[in-house]
Amino acid sequence: MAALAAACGGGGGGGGDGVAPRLVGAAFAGIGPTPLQNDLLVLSCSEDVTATAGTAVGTNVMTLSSGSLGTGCIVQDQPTTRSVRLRLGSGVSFTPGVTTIAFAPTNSVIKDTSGNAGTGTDTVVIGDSDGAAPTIGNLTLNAIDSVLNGTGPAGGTLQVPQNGWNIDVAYADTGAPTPLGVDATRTQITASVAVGTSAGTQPAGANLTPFLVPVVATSTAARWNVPAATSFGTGPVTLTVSVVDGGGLQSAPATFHLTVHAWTDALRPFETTVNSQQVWLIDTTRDVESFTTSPIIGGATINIVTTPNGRGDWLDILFVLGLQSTTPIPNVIGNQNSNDVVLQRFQAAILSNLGALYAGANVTFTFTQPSGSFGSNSSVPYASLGYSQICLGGSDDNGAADILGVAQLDPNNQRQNNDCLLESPNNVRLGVFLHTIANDGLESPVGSAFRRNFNSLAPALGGTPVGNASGDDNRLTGTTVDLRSGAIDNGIAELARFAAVVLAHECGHSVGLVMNGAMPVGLYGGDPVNFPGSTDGHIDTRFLFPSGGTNVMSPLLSYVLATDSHTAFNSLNLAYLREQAFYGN
Amino acid sequence: MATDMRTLRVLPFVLVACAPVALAQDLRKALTEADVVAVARAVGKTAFSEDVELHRLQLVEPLRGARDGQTTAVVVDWPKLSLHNRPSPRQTRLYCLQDATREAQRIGLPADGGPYYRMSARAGSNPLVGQDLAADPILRFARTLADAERGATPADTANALAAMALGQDAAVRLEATRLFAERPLLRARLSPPQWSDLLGRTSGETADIDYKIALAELCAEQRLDGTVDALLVGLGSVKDPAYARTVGRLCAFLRGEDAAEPLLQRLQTTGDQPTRAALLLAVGATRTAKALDALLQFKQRATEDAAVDAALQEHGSQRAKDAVLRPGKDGKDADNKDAGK
Repeated sequence: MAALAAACGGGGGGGGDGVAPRLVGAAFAGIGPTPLQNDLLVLSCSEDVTATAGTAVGTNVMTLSSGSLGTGCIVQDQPTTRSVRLRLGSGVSFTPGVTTIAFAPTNSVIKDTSGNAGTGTDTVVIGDSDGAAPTIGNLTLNAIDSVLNGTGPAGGTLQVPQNGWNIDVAYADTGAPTPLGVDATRTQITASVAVGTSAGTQPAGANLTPFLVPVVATSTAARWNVPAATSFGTGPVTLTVSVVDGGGLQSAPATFHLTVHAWTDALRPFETTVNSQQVWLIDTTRDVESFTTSPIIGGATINIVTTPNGRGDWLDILFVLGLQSTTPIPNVIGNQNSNDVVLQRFQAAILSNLGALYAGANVTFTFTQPSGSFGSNSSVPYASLGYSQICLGGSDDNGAADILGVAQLDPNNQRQNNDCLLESPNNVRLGVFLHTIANDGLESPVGSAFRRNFNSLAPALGGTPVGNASGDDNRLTGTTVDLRSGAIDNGIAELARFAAVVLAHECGHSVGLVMNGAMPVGLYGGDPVNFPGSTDGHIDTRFLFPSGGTNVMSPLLSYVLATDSHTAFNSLNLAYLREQAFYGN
Repeated sequence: MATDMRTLRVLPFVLVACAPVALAQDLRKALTEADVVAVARAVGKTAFSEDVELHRLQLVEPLRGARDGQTTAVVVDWPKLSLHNRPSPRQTRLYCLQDATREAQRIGLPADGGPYYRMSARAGSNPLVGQDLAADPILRFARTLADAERGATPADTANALAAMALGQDAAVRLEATRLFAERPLLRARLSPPQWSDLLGRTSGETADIDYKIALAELCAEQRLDGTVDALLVGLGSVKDPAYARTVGRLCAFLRGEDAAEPLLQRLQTTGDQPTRAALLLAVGATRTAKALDALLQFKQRATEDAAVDAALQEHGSQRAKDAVLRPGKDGKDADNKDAGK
């Protein structure tokens, strides 16, 4: 009789380690609801197993809570590397859905590929099979898209810290007539390395789900978090995951290869040794210029006057766009005049958008000057100051007015960065440039998304600034809702959104995004072959976003793209910001 | 981390005027802004200092702005700054160069070592070109703009660009279409048959969404008769949300407060769900009071309608957003608020 040896190759993650296989599912498949001789019972195990076809299976192999597998029950075959199918004998008696089954202590028939016999104390309920094992459609970490997690054509290996990250599994169960669905509580997750846990070190191949935190489990997907109490050893790791459906059938295992690297302050973006979080000051004090406007056919253009006027350059641009007035309406809300109300809403919207874009990252943004100063430094060691800063200013000093923002790239965020520097022999002007946004918008076609809001507000387009039209106070408080109030609301919200996305992008550079190369060297920046449109330090992954949205770290952005609610950091960039993946050695 | 990776670098973030990401997305602007436009090959690089490198370009075909007899150009580059556009060694590309005399003086470059240039920061302004320079579609586009600045008649320019806007090269037709939308005087030269072709393409294009949106914007800018109908017909075959938003916005541009009316009429005769969802999104994108009223009524009838919720979100008004968050409350209040609109 031939031995039914299961192949280890694809399954992996469990054999050869001294860990005995465990029973994780049992599925009855019969011609009727009551088991009869020659009906089948599928046993699913926690790792690859072997069993010799034709071998008798009695109480010395399997123990039932009541009844028996019948006289003459034998090993029929192995439907998967992790399962054994039994042909039931005469006099079989158990109740699917009620009776439990376990390996007998004397089992020597069902073994793993290293010869360890299944002897665990785990008991499972014998389920009614739906006839089809579930399948795993995707296994990844931190919800990182396949093209960015090392399994895509760009190659690489995802690098994660020893804990704090998530394991994401997407699955399906397609049995008939009614799929029983995946029972996420029976999921098996093993690693190819030893893992430290609150219950001691778990050897390679041990099921880790008791030491992971289930975050979410739906009919199609589940997530487990690796908590601080669970720590993976450093180096290459293969995770192996299988899921079990309600009838006890188990999926083929899925594997994911990763690298575990211990944190160091140099590699960790937001180490907390000194600073509890990364604070970003949005500095609005730059005043190096003022602006005038000139009509062009179909629109207007903004002229730069290279002398300061005693007012922040960003505010000058808001005046150009009609979001500020030289004659504001007083006391619109309390003692706030219309200019104050607009500014408050504009700044609040910027902070709100930045908070949403950086959700889950240990980063905060503020318009309030923290203690300390950069002096004349372009950057200082991360632990020597409590914040980085970026200027929200006027023009880019580039002549062509085609740059939205410029910042320092700080790999792994090792330093606090001063992105408020003006041009010098070594630098171009740093910061985010509202002039570029405004000028491009005023020059755009009259029906453009930008002009839709500002045609009625910007004086250069024949509009009336907020605060100059009768009833603007009521529009700002929401008492009056009309087309003009819509232009005001959307003008503030969309300009703030655009500015926030550019701020998020530039600050992203200064916290380490997007290093060129595949993981673990980089985050796939500068790879136009696999990510068309990408440039040095940037990655264009628009194809991963719903229509209209794009990656914050894309090299290209527009008013429409930036204001689309789907625009966000791509999954790998976000995992980096959340310190769930990182690059470097 | 390697030492060189600690080095301060500066990354410019380049503005793109319109939504789609494409190969030559902002080339048209770079071509008109640049001081020199030329097909060139980067043939050498020297370090002036720790911070500045000088790339030597051999001009293969000057298109505009080059001095008489000029065969080379020097591009100033900051190797520690991660600029988007940087000369690629040994590749023949189209270069849009801006005068960098000011930067050269700031850096301290020798006056007799120039002329000095910076590369345009516009997206798509440094495309690779084919070996057959005469046949390269991007170069034909660039030559057309250069010829226009040299005195080609507006009619000839418009005709040439119209053929490109209706052509097969995806990057060039997008650039040409957007150029017409941005240039009222140029598009005024287009003939009725050309407009008819453009309008027909607006409704008929189904594969290239960016192009379809650009065509729609062009026809709307011209306030062409039949544009609204063409936009609506387009929604029958293209349900892309970006296009649906464009339809709503352009309907508002063309019809003002009545923008939602044709969309709502079309909705009454639409059975399939994807088209209904696209129409509803377009209704929301008009951001008009009538659209809000209609969407709130839909919301009252079916509180769990994802398409209506998406449309309300798209509308963006506080009442619309409240209706999604608190459907019962806003639905009840829908008829009583903002009566003065």
